Amino acid sequence: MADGPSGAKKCRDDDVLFRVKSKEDREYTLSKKAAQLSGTIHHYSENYGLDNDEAIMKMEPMSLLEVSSESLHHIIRWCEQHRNCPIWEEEKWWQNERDAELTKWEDEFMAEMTSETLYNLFLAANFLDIKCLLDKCAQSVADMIKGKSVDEIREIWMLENDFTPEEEEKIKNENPWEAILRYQEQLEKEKEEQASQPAASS
Amino acid sequence: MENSEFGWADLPLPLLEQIFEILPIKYKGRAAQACFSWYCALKSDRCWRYFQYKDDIFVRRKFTQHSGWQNHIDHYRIRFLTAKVVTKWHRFEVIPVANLSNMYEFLRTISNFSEYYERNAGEEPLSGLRSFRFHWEMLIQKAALNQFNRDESSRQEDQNEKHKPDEVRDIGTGGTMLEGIWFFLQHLYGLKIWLFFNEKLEEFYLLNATLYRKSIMYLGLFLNLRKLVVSPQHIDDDSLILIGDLQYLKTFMLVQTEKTSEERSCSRQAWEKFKESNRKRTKLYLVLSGRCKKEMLIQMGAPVHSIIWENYIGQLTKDLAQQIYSEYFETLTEFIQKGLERKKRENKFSERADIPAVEIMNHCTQLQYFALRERISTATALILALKAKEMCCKLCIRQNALLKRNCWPSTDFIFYGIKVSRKWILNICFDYDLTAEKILEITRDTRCIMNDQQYKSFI
Repeated sequence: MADGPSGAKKCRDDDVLFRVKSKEDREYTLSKKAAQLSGTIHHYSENYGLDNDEAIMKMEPMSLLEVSSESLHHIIRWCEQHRNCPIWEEEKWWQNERDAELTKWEDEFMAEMTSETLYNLFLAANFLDIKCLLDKCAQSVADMIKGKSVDEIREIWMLENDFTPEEEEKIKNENPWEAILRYQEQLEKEKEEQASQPAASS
Repeated sequence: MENSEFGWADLPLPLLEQIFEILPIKYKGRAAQACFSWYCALKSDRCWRYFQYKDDIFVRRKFTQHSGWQNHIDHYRIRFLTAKVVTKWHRFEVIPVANLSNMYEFLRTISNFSEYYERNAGEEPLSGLRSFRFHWEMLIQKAALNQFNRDESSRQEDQNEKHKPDEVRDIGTGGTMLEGIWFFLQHLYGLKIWLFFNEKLEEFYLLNATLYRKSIMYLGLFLNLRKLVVSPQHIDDDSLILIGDLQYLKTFMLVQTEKTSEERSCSRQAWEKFKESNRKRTKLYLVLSGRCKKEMLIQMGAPVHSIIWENYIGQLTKDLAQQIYSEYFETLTEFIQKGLERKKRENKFSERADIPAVEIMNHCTQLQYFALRERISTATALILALKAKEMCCKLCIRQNALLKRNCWPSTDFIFYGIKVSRKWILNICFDYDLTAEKILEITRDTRCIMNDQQYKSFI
């Protein structure tokens, strides 16, 4: 199985490999540095005395019963790519700058995901406690929601409308944002009309 | 894949909240209407932790006589915002906007709301805010600006400048925006570290921000600065040492204008430290500009690269020249007097700029550009030309400022190390044409002696 771009693969060879097992009992390896990105693995290795290279070499594969092979493969790709970058802290945004190349890679990585794989990846990232991946997943979901109507959102995310009609009406009225939204839409429409009118007249 | 395991409706609440947190406010409400579990996420506090202010948010259209349809801030809707969710904010971000007055209004409304609660209920509604990011862009693309003033005149401008799409325009608010932010910040009790800088700022001009002497330490915190222009009263020893540490600073100008007062030179020790940490990566300029009545302020021991007189103001006197060549003889590479001389001065040799000019030429060995507007004699011009030739320095003097005479006593020539006889100079200096010819011969530069028109435009 291919493991991400060649650059990531090359540099993982000189690090000790950490062994993990997916739900389907398939074994994967990832470098020690990349494994440290996951909070869950970090705690695991602390609890089982896997703090030196020798212990890691001799270890039994850590079984991740919640993670499917497919998600694990994606997660390992992600971690190997991010193994050397500093931990991003929103509170300290001014200290580290985001790498443009890495951001591009992240976008491409996310573009590959289907709705289903993204869902599984999201859950797996949550289970393994990988903060940067969680943030990125949430961001891409949010980006997909932007600019959609309620029905479109239901369609894309395969959500069922489980409100009763009365409830729905109530939510619409209770939610002041809805009134605002309607207003804003109307505003945008007017704007578009205005923009198109002079062009038509001239 | 089994369908039962896969369903966005069953996404754990913390994850849903994380998505909702970064969703723009417009789509929060919309996504919440999709199904019940998503609606629950909207009700959580975390969903409202992050708020981003941008253009066209909370606005409504309004017609005014003078500028037609405009988007104005909608206070009615902000009331909903403040009452319901402002207390839940953790992060607040203002991204660059084109409509500054709306942003100002927005910030003022929120701060007024906070102030009201503090006074009447003893609560601090904004104390939960942990991070406030304010992006400020002084240069706004013209295209964005034109959305707001669509009158005829700007439209005509548009057509003229269509082929220059990258045209940008400077915008200033005269401190009103700063005041608004300051007012807002007073209500943020949760902020622990205050940082008023942007890593990206490359040029910074701070001229006469205060009338009296007030050093501004923050200047050294703009880490990415390439060019810094500042009045001397804002620099003291400490801030100077900080500025010396700036890695990318190429140009550092100390500008005196008529409004500059109470300026004092920094200490020699501070400049020594500046030189030590700076390692010649910054070029230091001393500039006298505007209608300044005072003399150029000489910074003791500073590594001055250029001295520039911007307008007709200022004069090269003996004392000043002596300070210049004794302090800056190692580093001075440019000496420029722009404009024409206005101030009357005595025609006597001892009062004129002849001796100071030659002395500066003689001592500052690094000099590469020497433009003098003051009155000198033809003999002095010849001496300067000879010196300039020797040092490979570009010389500019004014034709109209030449006096047909020689006032130099014979001994001085030897002193200045000029290898021509007094007789040679005496032969030439009583004829303007001959002098010009000889100077051209020496410097091989037709732009050496200029008439006033040329001098004003060329320098």
